Amino acid sequence: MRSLQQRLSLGLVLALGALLVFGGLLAYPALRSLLVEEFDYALLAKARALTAPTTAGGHGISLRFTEDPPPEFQPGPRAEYFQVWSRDGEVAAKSPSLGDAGLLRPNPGTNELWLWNLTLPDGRPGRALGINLALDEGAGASGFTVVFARDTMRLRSVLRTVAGGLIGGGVILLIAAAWLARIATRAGLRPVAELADEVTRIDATSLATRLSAAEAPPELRPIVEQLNSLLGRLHDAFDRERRFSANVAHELLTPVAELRALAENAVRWREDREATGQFAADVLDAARQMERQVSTLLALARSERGELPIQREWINVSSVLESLRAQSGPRLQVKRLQLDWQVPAEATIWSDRVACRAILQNLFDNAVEHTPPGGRIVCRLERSGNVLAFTLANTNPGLQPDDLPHLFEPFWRADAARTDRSHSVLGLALAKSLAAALRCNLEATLHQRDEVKFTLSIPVEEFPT
Amino acid sequence: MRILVVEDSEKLRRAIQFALRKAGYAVDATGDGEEGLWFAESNDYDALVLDLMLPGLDGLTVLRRLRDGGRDTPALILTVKSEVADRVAGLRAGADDYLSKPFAFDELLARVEALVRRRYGNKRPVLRVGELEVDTGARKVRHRGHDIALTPREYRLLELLARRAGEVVSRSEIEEHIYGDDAEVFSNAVESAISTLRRKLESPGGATLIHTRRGLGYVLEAGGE
Repeated sequence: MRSLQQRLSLGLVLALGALLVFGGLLAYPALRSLLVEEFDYALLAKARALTAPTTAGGHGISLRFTEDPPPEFQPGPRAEYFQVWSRDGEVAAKSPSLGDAGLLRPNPGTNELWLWNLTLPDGRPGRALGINLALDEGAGASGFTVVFARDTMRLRSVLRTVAGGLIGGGVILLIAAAWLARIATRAGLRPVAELADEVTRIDATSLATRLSAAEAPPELRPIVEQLNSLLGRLHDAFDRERRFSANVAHELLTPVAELRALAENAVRWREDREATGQFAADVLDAARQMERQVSTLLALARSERGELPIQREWINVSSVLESLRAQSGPRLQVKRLQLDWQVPAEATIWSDRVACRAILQNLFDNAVEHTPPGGRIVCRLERSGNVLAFTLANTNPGLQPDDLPHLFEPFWRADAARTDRSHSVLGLALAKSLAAALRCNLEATLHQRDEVKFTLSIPVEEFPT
Repeated sequence: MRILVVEDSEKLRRAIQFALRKAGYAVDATGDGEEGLWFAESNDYDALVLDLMLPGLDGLTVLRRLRDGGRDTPALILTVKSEVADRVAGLRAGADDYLSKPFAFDELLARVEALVRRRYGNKRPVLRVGELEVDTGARKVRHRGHDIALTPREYRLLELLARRAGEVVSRSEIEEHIYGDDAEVFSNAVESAISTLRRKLESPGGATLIHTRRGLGYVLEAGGE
């Protein structure tokens, strides 16, 4: 495919070429007509000059120029011709250049003047002028028909020169136009070329680059803005991918380091039965943790691919929450957490029981895990307008506003919040993905510096009618 | 030699603690950054093994606070963060060495030994006091050309005395470096260990290497009183 510059240049040159051809087609006939007219005028002027001294003699008509024809009527390569006929059609005189040949007499009529093209007796192309001369001879009128002819070689040569000039000039103009069009289109398309150059330089390592929309011409501004928006999304996606890879590596390296250290100790100190027993128990625990993480990761992948089967049924969310509260009781006690329970006795929704419980459990686990000892968790379920909202707020002093966008990323942890790894770092990511699968919205907000609030919004359309 | 291990993975902490103790070190261990800082500020450790991602206080902050407080305990960072930028940040925060997880215990022990040697200003792995040779790399002791068999704890005691040859090492220092806080130290444990060492280093016609300075401690020197 041709480049824009080529297309524009070609278009401009073709348009100009068409204009030149059209102009040439108009100009050449006009010029030709003008030159022929000029030729005819010169022929006529000469004819009038020669026939002016015509007089009547005693025995008939006397044309002085016929008696002593000027040199141009003598035989020669550029000879001119004349022939005179009386009214009755007899040849009265003819130029010496004609020799035995003759010119064609025009049909006598009422015309005073004739002009026509002819081939001269020596074969040259020519043009002839015929005039009727009327002479008063006292008693009656008599007259002659005189024809002057001369070659049109010079006229033709001039016309060829004019045509050649028009064609040559047109070609030169076209070449100049192509060169100018190239310069003009290059200058006009410079913002596009600069944009292309800037875009070409962007790769996976420079996705933070932004194209300057302010300097772009208005036609390109929407493209630049869309590209910048796309770059922003790509940058975020790459960042998430990088963080995910790094986090996966960290999360898997720790249990691998544990397994290696425990195995090395067990091999080196195999005679210490008590110690190797403890190492074996720790290896089993580490393996179980890895298994849990891998299972959750697989569930997350299936959920994100939309492969988790959703089987909706009537669920009493309140009773699900009650069972989670009972399950978390010991951990709440150990950490001396205060639980503010604002859940009605019954709130039924039409949803998938397993997915719904997994969402609520992960939110609950996260709150219990990250609330510092002696902290407070507020659990509320209420209908607000067209939405049933489940909110879980807990104190979490380590969390910063910048952390919020990462809370639902798989394996993300705020460094300071890294505690023992029995708790899955995939819980919130899984909860978010499952919520999306159930057409619910899950979001986190930081209310005060030390309180994070998770809100699960279930659209009212999901309620039984 | 007394080592502090600050590592939040309980299983890994236990494994490192076990291996270091088996190598003859006295080991204190914690999984919390703030507690680790408190330990490091309150005791005189020969080396510090420090994870970076810790609850309470992250490893780099622990290290910076230690250095700001004038503590120059050699520190080895042991972490899953293995990028160049992480290593640079760790070393610039005051770490003396950096080891990525997963790791081999032999390498960890070798690096800890190197840190301890550096602490005592001795880069050579073989310490010589008269005709006594303590090879800290191979953990072997030779006296007058004969190999001396020592338990790990006896070896550490001898290594401590050899590293500070010619200096008086107090009984409390020995307790702190060899036994640590979590071991039950009987009142005569140090005397008993010194006595055992003297016996193992005895040779016919040879002079005593370990000398008692009453009320002060013990000194290892060749040709003493």
